[in-house]
Amino acid sequence: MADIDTSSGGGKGKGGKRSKKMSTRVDLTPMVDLAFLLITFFMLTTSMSKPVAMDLAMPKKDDTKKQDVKESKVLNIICDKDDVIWYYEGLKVAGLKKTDYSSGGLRQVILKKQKKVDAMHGKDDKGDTQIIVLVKLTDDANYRNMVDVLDEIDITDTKIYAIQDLSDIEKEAIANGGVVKSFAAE
Amino acid sequence: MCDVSFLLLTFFILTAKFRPTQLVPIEIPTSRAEKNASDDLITISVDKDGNAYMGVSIPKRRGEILEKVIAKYGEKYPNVAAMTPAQKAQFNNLELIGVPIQNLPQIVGLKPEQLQEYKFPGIPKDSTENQLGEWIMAARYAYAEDDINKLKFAIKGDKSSNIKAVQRVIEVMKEKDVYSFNIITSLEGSND
Repeated sequence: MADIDTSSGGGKGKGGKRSKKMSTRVDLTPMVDLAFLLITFFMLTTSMSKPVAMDLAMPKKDDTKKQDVKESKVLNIICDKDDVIWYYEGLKVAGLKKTDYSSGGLRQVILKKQKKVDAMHGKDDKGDTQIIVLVKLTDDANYRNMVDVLDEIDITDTKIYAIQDLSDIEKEAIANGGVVKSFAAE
Repeated sequence: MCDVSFLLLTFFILTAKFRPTQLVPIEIPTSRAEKNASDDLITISVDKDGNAYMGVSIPKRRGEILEKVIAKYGEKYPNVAAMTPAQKAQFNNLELIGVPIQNLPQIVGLKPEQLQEYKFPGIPKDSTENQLGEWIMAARYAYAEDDINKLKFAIKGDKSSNIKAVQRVIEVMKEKDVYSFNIITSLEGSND
């Protein structure tokens, strides 16, 4: 009994008077450890690198049919440089306010407007809110801004939205930090 | 347990798609959209300098689209029309079309490591030379022979790319009667 017992399944070599049999059992624990490590790795990497897609539909260019829109349903969002968002309701460019992309910023603005629209016009036949969001992008905005706004629109379940060009009066308002001089007399 | 774990391991290794080496670095923005991107997709990428690239996910389609470019615009690009079958086969391996059409014959022969170092100028997309529009038209013709409903466009822009470049791409797509498309983003929260 001076040698080390290499057999893991004890009791097998007890009656061995002939020659000592080497055990054929191999310890599998490290291999299983490694296998599980690899499983974990592949599971995590496969689900993480999958790109997801957002749908975006643009109006047809020959679609000249103008839709009449109630001013009270409209929320205008303007993306400016340095991650600044300007927004105003309806046609009141003079009431330009500033917000940001955080969940307490733009999302709350949209939700607040949704509540207002719901209180005024109620939900439509499908039970959706009737808010209309118009997204406008200044030339200094970047692509992430656009995706972020579209994402917020998606999160707040806004069904009617459009990407539009900036009007001159909006440009002027932004350039003056939210103040419209031509409206000052009003 | 050992058997099961190895079975799982094999499964995940086989299903794992290695991320293709990016020829043009593009950092996509994040969103909470959960729809998976389709497998058969034509992706128009816009990098941070505003250059446009086109990628076709299925190699077989790449050849079909090239044939249409030659059929429709071959007179404009005689050197592309004169490409040998071997060069066309090499074109099928190009994941990304990022050069003006007339430069295609030079690019197809490059090895992967040479492509990595190649500085892609992008596909011209301004109104004087709207090659991006020609590619989109060619794609429409190519898919029309199979099933036009399978044709799906996606825009993949860099986070910091200027909005004007992306809007120009959207404008080109609208000119070619593509009004509905996907925007490729990564899932918010993943650091990818």
